[in-house]
Amino acid sequence: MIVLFEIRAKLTELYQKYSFGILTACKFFLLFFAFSEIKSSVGYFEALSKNSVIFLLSVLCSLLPSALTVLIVLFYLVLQLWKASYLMSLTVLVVCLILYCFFLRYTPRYGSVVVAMPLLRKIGFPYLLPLSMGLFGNLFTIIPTCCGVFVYYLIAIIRENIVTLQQMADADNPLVMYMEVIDKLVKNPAMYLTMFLYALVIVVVYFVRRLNMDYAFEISIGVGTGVMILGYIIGTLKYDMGVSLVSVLLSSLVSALLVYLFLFAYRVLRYAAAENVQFEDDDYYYYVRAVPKIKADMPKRTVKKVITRTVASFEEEDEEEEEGLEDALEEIGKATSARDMERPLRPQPAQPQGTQKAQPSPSAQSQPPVRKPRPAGTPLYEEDEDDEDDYK
Amino acid sequence: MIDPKKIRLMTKLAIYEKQEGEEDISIGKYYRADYVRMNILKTILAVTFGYLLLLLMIVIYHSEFLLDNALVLNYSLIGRKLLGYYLFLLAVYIGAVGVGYTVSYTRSRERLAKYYKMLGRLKKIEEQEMHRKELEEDRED
Repeated sequence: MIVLFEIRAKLTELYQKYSFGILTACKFFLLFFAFSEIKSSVGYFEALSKNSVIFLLSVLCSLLPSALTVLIVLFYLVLQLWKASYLMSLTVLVVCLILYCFFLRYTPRYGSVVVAMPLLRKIGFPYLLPLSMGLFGNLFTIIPTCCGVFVYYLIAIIRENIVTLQQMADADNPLVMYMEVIDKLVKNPAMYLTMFLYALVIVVVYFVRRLNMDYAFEISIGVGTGVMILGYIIGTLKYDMGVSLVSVLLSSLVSALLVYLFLFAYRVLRYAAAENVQFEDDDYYYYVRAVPKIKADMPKRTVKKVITRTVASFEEEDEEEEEGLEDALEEIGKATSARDMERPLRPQPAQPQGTQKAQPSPSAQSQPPVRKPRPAGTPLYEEDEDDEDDYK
Repeated sequence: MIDPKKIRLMTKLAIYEKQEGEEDISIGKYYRADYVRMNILKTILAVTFGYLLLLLMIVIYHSEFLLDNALVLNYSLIGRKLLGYYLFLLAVYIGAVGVGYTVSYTRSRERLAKYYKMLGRLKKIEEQEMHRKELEEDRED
């Protein structure tokens, strides 16, 4: 378990160092995937369907703000549809404008959710989004999530019927295609049920994770997944949801696991060490529960160098040490004798008549003077001004 | 010499300015009533434009029916219904937006108050540093 925390700490450190590059790279891959999916679904414009164009667009959009990126993705979709059917491309444009005017202008930070939802549905993990939004976002994320579902169904209906609808349009009335698409979109109970389910999951996850209990975040993921699976079971009994229960079950469980990994990367709490404190100020009385975060430092590596030596080199070292020791002893001997020569004899204290004490012997005079005790508060050594440079 | 307190304060200020501060500072230029009114006006424009687009889509959808019964339709009734739906939609949006932006403005002001308090502390630290430098220069002279 500690290894996981160490890996997490290492990844966090890497992310903090190279966050701009990592985020830009992630955006690039996601956008490349988005443009490729649009090309594979409704890629009727050959010039825009080239891989080089998609690559250039992905590079450009990864450097732009998310609001502008969503706009470029929308225009790419509209231009792709323009070649197939002018009316359909205008329909998509008008629908997106209506969604923006009524809903999306109030959640500007979550515009990318509208693009992400159709992509996640395509790869089979749409439940990742409502679980993540409920866990990390707020209740307003219901709006872009439901708009994303609406856009997904719109593009799916257009893609599935565009060939047959084109034939119908050529034969009779160009508006037939438009009416067919609007009919399938508006009279689509599966779409409304999906929107309702995702909104319910977001609400449930949001309120459960805000509860004052241990492991609230983890429990909210489980509860949200349960609500999702149950909702799909009930929905499949009444309507044709277009997906099998087994795939919903597997996809929900994998999405829950992925969301749990996101949570682990984002924040890990040690509930066993939680503290409950109470205090007050002039205005309020506070009941505070502090749960510490688990942080693991990377283990410090110590490099131990093992140098192999020969026997001859050891003997040489011993000889050098002995010589050094002898020199040091000689110097000490010289120093002590010089000190003895220079030090004056201690003055004899005045003694009363009739009593005489023996003079102290030379060996006693060679003893070092008695030090006075150091007053409290004084430093052990004098600090040099140069020492500060060592710590810069 | 590096003052850790000053560095910590400046880091907090810079992080705030980068994240929410940009929006809060731009909101802080308005009075509450002006800010809410401005956003209500934008909402009215957006809802009107969106409603007209929706109406266009519905008209195109029912274009055959409308063309067949152009002379028979009760246009005043249709007009009153459409206006009623529009006014109801507008009322709902104005109410929601009014409440939402008022709350948003209040929270933004609270964050800005903390930001200005931190700026005041930074200013005090800098004044103390200037004063200390002047004293050192006087001692050297």
